[in-house]
Amino acid sequence: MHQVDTAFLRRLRARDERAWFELWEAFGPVVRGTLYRWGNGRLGEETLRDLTQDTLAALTDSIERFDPQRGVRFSTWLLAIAKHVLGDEMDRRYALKRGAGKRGASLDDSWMGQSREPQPDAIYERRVMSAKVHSAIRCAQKRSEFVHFEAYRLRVLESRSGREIGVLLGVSEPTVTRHCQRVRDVLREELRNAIEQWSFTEDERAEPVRAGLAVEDALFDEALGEIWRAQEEILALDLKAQMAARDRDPKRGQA
Amino acid sequence: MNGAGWTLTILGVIAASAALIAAGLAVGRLGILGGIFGAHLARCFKQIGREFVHFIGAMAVALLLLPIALARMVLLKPAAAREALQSSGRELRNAFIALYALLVVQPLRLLGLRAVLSYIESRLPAAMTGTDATLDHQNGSPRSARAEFAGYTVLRELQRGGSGARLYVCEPDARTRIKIGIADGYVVIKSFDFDDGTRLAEILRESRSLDAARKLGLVLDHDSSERRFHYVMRYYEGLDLGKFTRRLHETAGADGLDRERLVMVTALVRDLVATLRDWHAAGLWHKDVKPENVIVLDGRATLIDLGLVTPLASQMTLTTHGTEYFRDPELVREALRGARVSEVDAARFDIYGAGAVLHFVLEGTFPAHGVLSGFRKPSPESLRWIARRAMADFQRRYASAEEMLRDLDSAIAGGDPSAVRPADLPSMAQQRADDAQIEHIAAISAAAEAAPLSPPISPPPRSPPPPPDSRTNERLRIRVTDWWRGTYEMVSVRPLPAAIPAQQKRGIGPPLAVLVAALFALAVIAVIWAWLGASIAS
Repeated sequence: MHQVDTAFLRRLRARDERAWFELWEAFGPVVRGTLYRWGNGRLGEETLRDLTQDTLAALTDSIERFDPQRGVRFSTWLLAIAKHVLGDEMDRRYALKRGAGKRGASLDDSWMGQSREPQPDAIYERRVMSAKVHSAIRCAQKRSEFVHFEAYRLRVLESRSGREIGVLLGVSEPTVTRHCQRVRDVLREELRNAIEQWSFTEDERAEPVRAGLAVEDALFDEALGEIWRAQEEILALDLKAQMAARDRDPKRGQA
Repeated sequence: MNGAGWTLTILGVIAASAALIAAGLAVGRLGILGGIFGAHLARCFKQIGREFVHFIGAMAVALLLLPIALARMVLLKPAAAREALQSSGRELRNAFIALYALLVVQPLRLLGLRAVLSYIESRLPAAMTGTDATLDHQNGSPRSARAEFAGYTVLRELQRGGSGARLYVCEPDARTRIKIGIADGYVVIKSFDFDDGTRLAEILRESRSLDAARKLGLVLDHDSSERRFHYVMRYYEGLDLGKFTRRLHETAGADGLDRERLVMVTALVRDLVATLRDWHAAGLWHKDVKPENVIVLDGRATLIDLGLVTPLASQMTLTTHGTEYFRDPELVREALRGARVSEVDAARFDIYGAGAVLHFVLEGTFPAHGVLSGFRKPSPESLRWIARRAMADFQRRYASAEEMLRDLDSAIAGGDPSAVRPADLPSMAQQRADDAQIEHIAAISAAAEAAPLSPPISPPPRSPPPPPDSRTNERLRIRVTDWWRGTYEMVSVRPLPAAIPAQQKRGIGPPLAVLVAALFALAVIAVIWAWLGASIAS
């Protein structure tokens, strides 16, 4: 049986700020994106930013009460907090509209289902999985030689041939292959760590297999490239939203 | 006065103004007393010309409003007539202010007595009301919050920065210019005032790098009193790199920047990295490298804002100050760990910022995800490589700004960064040599296993870098012709890279020609006037 009370959870509970930073770095865009979709465009960027920060703050409060033995998924846990925070915000808005003392929409009210897009669950789960893979890629990048990682990036993300990469980097094709193999090994290891760190159930831990990441090298690269590109799209949307917010408030982000 | 008379008067005013301005420019370009005196005269003549135009304009408007007021009175619209009269009065007041400036202020300024007049102007009302402004100023009471700095005339206030300090664009007087060692241009004064809510910690943070910044020539002067602290820097009036880049991308279309623009923006980043190299060598760390802190002026980039500058050897704990997306995430981790500045190689945080700026100029968007940020617009592989290497993990990025600078120089040396492979960059030379060695050893081992008697395999020959294009082996310089639209023109080329080129000498010919033409025009107008007067009299 997997030890659910992971070292990472312990760090979160111990208020290790670096652990919270890692959580934010990995899942901030996912939470932001999900809240944005649920808000159906009714939430401004500023509100969204505050809500995302509130989500993380609520996570800090709830981490003490969280019992992973009940079999809840990591993604569900994160989602529940986001829902709770968003519900609070909507309650507050409706209450302001209708007058004091009246309760607003609940978490599962119809406004969340009004979107014609697929239900957030499936999309959300996919995004959480992508965020885990992206986190692994980030760790692999830190551990790998810069040139090796760039060779792998060119090969998998940009689908360049070994020969082409060799010309760009001034090395032979077998060297490119060796660079890629080194990074791939590190990536597999980091992927295992990320999945272990960010998963609470067996089902979550089996996700990499379902996503095609537990196979031989060529298929692994293909699956990883697909997830990477999908995550890039999500990050690009997130970036667009952040750019819009920053254009409205140029001082945003200055600390 | 008939129509011809009015026309002649207007032409006369224009010619006289042109003559005054041209005379100012001509004198200004003579370079008397190292340019200081000339620049002073030029400014004064320019101001005199301007005041003269203001006086004439205000008088004309005031006189025009009088018949309008009269007409309204006739039409039984007393309220409207009163408005016109009031406007006329305001214009007359403006005309007299301009006349006062023309006859008193500017001549005194010309003689270098502007400070005396300013003092009288400021003291007279206080003396009449019985209060002592000087005492208040010295003691630093709330009056000291007024923007007054000895030796400087405040021209305008800039938008406040993140630290809460006030920023004033000022003009130093001639004596101060000699003291601070600048012959022309304006300065910006950053002023921290307790009465404006500045805290001591902010002042201490700003002042701890002051000595080093002075040695670098970044801070020209500083002063402090009980309630206020301020320092003086050169003012660069240009567009910040953020706006400059956005406008370039807006006009470039979906295909990204063309070759000329790529070289241009890369050269600006090169200037930034060269500045960082100098700062790091002087033991300083900027800590807030971002496009908004880079001013583009005459095709050169200048790094501004000393708000977060920190000595590299500081024993203080790292803070997370900086700007999101251009601040290294590793800085946040180290700060959360409680590391001291001296314990980390903080110059590498600036290198990350420079990489993020390079990403920004290539893409037109900030790198929200650090080194994993994708490039969506077409750009040369060599420049992408440099940006990523600068933003790579702390231990794997460029070890110094100098190393990054060499790569940037190499990428733009041929005038076409697309022709340069990452393999041709100087930083790759060592890496390639190491890899070739490993490959060589691996090949020997494999060969030894397969056929022990076969001769050793020599390492692959290093591919030579592409020959530089002699036509474009120069760095393009630009001059922005319209900041608003972001238009520019190529004015000259200069070889890469070396020291800052000496300022271009401005010729005296054009202003002299304008002066002669204006005087000639004045003479012609005078003759026509005389002729008209004679014909009317006869």
